[in-house]
Amino acid sequence: MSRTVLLIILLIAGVAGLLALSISPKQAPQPETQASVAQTSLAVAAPKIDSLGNSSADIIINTQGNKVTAVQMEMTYDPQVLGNVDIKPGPFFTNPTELLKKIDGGKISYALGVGLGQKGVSGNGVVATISFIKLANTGKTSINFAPKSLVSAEGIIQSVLRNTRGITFDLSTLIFETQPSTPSAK
Amino acid sequence: MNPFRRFLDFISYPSHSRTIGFLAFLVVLLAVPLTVNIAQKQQELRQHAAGNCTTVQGADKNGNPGTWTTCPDTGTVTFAPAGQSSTPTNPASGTTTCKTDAASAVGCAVGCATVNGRNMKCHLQNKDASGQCSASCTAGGPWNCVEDASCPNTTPTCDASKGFISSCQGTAVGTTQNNAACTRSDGTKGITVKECQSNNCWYDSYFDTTPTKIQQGKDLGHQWCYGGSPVGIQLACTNPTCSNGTNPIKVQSSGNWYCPNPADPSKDGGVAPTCGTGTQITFLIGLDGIGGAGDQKNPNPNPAPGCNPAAGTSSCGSNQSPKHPNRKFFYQIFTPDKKTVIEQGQTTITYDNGRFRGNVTLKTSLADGVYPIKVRAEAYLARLSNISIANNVGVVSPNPLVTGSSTDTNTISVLDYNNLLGCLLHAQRPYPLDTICQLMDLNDDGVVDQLDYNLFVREFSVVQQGD
Repeated sequence: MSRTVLLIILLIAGVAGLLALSISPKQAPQPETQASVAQTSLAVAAPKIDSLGNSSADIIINTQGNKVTAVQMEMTYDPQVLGNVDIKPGPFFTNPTELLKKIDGGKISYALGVGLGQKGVSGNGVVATISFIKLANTGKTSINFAPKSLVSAEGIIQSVLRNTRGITFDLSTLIFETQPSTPSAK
Repeated sequence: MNPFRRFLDFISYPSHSRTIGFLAFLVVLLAVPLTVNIAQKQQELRQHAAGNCTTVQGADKNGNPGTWTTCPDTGTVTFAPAGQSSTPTNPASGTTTCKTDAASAVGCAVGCATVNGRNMKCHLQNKDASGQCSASCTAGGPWNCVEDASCPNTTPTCDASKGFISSCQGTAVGTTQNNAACTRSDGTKGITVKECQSNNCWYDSYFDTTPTKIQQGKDLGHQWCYGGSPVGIQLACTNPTCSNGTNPIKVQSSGNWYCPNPADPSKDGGVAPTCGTGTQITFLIGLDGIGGAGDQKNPNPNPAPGCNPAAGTSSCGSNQSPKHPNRKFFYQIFTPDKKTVIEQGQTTITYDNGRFRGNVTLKTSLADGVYPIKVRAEAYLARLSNISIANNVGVVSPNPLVTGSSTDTNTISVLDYNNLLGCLLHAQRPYPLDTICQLMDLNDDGVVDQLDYNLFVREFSVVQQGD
């Protein structure tokens, strides 16, 4: 192929490129949104009951792409219906540090995170388990997240908690129904 | 023949004239998008320039109403008559030479000569209250102000509300003194008072509840007597003082204060109340992890037996040599019912023998009593306590402030924990070391380490929210 042909091809490519640049619509720069980094969700799983009558409900975390370093759960329950409420770490974090644990008057404030020298964890699993006994055998009751719940992740300033989901269950059968997914507070 | 085939033949067997012709065609084709691109850029530039223009309503040199538009980016000043589109004009030269600064010149609708390439307008303030050219016109700047009939009317307008000296917006003239010889027709005693001149209008006594315009150039020795209800003045303080030995009285309807006449407290004594010296407050603030303060689990600043920072199970003592001995504190003083902030501010106080100590003189002079006061510092939660004020002094010494808050939200949360981890593991650190990590150096020993981690865990487990 001669140099002339090459030159013609180059010119055609140049014209095509400039034409495309001229007629392409210009898009305003899109600001980064917090939603793009908040990918983690927390949900209360279906309660279980053992042979001794002790009940428990796992709290499931799904981090999506976040590398979670700590979780702070603010939860509510009806103290007239659920008693001996306790919360313990689940297997999601290996050797977690329990940072905060307050259970009083129908409120649970619980925070745990990776220990000193450990890195953030991603994936899904049981981050904590709530145990309780039933003080009533009929009716329905709920365990819900309060808006103050937070999840922190490596390299991200704000909470990466995107949404939470509590649970409502029947005390007589422990048959449950999930609460609607709610966006977390920022 | 197939056009594609012909094109291939054209490329495969080019002649000299064909090649030149085709290249010329391509050059023409290339010019199209380039022209479009350049036109778009010029349009964007014009739009950008137009966005920095300011407009004022006014009139041209002939008094026709319209809108003046000044565009600093382009150096143009244009006038659009009311109801018409903006059309650049060049006001007649020779009327006056005005300021060379467009920003201060715009605002007065007087046509001016072109100065430094800009069509300038004479500023209203170049004329005095009577509409004449004042001395400041020639002494103050590069303008040469001349009378111009097209200027807005500057004839003084007298405002009856300016008759009170306490709110005099003009010049207060004369002296204020007690004068028992001044007697009103109703028999009450009065005083000779200052008079208020504003915009060439003179007014009588500020004690007269119905100020009256009096003739210009009135004899200042004339005695004017007061009467009616005291008006008083607004004060920021809650316990002002009077220089005539009386106690200030608050006018309930307005909240103003006045110093009463010693002989008749229902009358104004002719002395303005003042706030005097503000209350002096001494701060004695302990900070967890530093000096004489421990932490929220162990207020003892000395190392606990078996101190193990890595385990985070025991107090490891507080830093007795903080790297930042001068710290900024923020305070708010409330009314006793905590509903209203009396005064707030910030002060930098100094580390002194285990605590941060310093004095602040308030703008307000607080009456004796107990006041809620909130104190906080960077990285520390706010602490609410009470301060007892007696004889205009008081000491605030709350429980030590809780540390660990790096997010300026008056809370401690896992977000702060995340910041701490980030500072401990620099690869994760979301902030520069000199900002957040300085805050996360909780015991202020110059390094973010296990001692800070230990302190944070102990603080967070007890307190998560400031007052």
